[in-house]
Amino acid sequence: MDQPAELPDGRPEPARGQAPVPIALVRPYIARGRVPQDSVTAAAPDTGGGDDGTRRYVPPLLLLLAGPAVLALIVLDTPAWLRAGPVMLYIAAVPGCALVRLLRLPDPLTTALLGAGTSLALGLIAAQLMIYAHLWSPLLGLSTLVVVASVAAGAELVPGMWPVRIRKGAS
Amino acid sequence: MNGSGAATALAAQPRPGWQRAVLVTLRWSGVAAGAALGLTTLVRTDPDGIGSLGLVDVLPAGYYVALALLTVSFVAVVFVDPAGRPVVPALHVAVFAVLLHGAAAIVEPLPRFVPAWLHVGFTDYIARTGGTLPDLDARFSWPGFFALAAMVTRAAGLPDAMPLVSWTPVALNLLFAAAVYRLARAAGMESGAWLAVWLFLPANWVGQDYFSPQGLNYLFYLLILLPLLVWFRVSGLTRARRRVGRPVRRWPRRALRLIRLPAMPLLHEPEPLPARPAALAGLTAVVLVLFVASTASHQLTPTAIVVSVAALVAVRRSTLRSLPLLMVVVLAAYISYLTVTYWSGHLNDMFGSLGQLGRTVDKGVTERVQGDTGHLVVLQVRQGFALAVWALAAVGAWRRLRRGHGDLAFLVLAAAPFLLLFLQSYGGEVFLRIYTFALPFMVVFVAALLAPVWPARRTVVAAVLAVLLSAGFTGAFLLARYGNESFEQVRPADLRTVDWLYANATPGVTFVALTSNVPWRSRDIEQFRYTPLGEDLGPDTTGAIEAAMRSNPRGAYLILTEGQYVFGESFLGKPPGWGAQIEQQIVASGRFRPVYSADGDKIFVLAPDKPGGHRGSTG
Repeated sequence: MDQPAELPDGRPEPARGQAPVPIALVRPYIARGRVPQDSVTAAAPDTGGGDDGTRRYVPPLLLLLAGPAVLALIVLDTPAWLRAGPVMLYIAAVPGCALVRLLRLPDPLTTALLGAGTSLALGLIAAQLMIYAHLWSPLLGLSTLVVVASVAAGAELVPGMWPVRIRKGAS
Repeated sequence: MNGSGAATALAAQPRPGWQRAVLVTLRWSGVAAGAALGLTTLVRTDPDGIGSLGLVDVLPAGYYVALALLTVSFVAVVFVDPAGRPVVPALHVAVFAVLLHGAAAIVEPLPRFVPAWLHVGFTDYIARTGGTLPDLDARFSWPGFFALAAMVTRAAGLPDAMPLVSWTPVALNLLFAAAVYRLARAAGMESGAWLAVWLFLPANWVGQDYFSPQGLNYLFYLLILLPLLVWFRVSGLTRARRRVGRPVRRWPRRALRLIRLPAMPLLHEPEPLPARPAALAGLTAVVLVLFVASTASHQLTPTAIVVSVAALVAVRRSTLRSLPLLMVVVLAAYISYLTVTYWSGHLNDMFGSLGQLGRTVDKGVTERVQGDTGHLVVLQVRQGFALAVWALAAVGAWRRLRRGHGDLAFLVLAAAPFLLLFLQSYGGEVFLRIYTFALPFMVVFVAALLAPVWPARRTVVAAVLAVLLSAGFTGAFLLARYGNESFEQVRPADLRTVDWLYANATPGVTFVALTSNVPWRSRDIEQFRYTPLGEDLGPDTTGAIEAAMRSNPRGAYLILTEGQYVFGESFLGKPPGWGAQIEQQIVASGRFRPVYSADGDKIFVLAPDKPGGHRGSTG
């Protein structure tokens, strides 16, 4: 991280390896009723720092790289047995997952489900728009989805955008 | 095998190391053995013996043993160690979904269900041309699903969408199951959530999960309601604030006492999960994107979504109070601008059912009850299964209310689909649709019959009842879902006949059949004419067939296949031997000339009237 990330109240984020953030830092938010006290993790903000910071970069990075990989399979006209699985998986999961991950929902199952639904919905809308615009081209449709997914995954890689992490809680 | 008695004995915590090892082994071995046995028996099953009770006629004993093994193992896992790692029950659910919803795909040599083949044809047209044919079929006015499938198949390098057809039900049901699990968790259930999913899989016998717009739209329906129930509930605090200064609304205590409910049956309604405003805004956007996709891809599901969302708002269990209005605007805009070709000629179809409850019920119940004995048995099982689910759900809801764990949102969502009776006839399928849309919430209440276990000492009883309930649901599923397999399967001989037709017919000719149960229209749908179109029964007398064939001066082919005969007898209630008799009359009339005959299937063209006269086909 080149730029130091900020905490909710504008203070700079502690460097990696430092002690967890005192809960006092997020107390103003608790007082405003935005976040219940028992759901706030008294740990480093979700900016990619901390012990598992590197791991947090992996999913958006994979989502980012998956797009060009899938496009390459199509442009190189690889046989169907090789590209059918990756292409279908990409259209059915990646764009939506990249977008829904930005919401930082507390449970991975809901993120995956809403991500899959959003992916299919975006693919459907893109395909139908191509029909109405008389621009039918599966490669164009997939490229549009790749752009959407890449922008979303890229945004997730920008540090310091989501300071307060909501802890996984019972629903 | 995981026995429930032994399982209870192992439930005490903490367990010694060797007990944990045994438990882990039993958990994994149960699901592994069930999967291995089930899949191997299905692969070896011969589909030739499929009769009037469908797939049940040919399923071997090993398949039932596998299902029993899996069920006992699942119930032991869920009831003994509900706080354990979710991967084990999830794996059980996945195997269960494959064994139930993938059975036909494994046993039968070709993808089942003729309407799915037609959807492949729609997809093929869009993939080839990038356009739609709203004048040919109403479904082209809502082409979203077919456009998506066309884009996917072309991008994936597949020749058509046929490779997707067989396993679509399994893929969709796995997604449905995950959504139902999350919904059940949103109702505050723990182990009961797994049981709800387990019961949902066999209870979802309706068959709207094939390669179709409605299958995908059912997923959209679940995923739109999911955020509303998890994040957009009205909190107890807000509800309490609203009551301040208003006269106290008392529950009708005497009525509650009469049905043995406490004074406050909704005391412990689940609270919304906390989220930042930006996340809530994002979730609202997700809901709207899903709804737009639903509006663009199916004629009927968006109405059900609007009804359910509006019902949540009406009972003040959703903070997105303007969402139903926004949805209505989106829906009206789409119908007004993008389905003109359809509604300009079908206004009565769209709005004719408004308020006509009696006609809708007649169409949904009376007119659908016909066919041979086996088919009637299947219909009775379906009706009994639906009524049983609703009755069990009512008792389960009562049990939750008794503990003060009632959830008005779930109660309303289980009931809201019944309002569709007043809105749309759904082409006579209204009860199937109501059952399907209410099912996710109904199964939560059915699971609430047994979980959580009150009091805890009754765990064994609850586990045994869960096994019995699951066995009953599974048995009913196999009849309700696959009972019509005698005509819903696609026979290889029928496909070979259709292949010959497409290989030899010149574009522009008419294909005539006795019934609609022919695996045609999966390719080149715009190049040929078809009779019957939109009806189950086609011309079935020699004179009517000849007239239909002569109506096209370019020529016509008559195709007679085994699948049509079985469909006529089993589904349409025609007498046994009906198809063979018509075939004999056609041959005896001398007005038709056979051009293809194999495996009992035949193709005819019109014979010339007289030497040098009109010839009916290019045969």
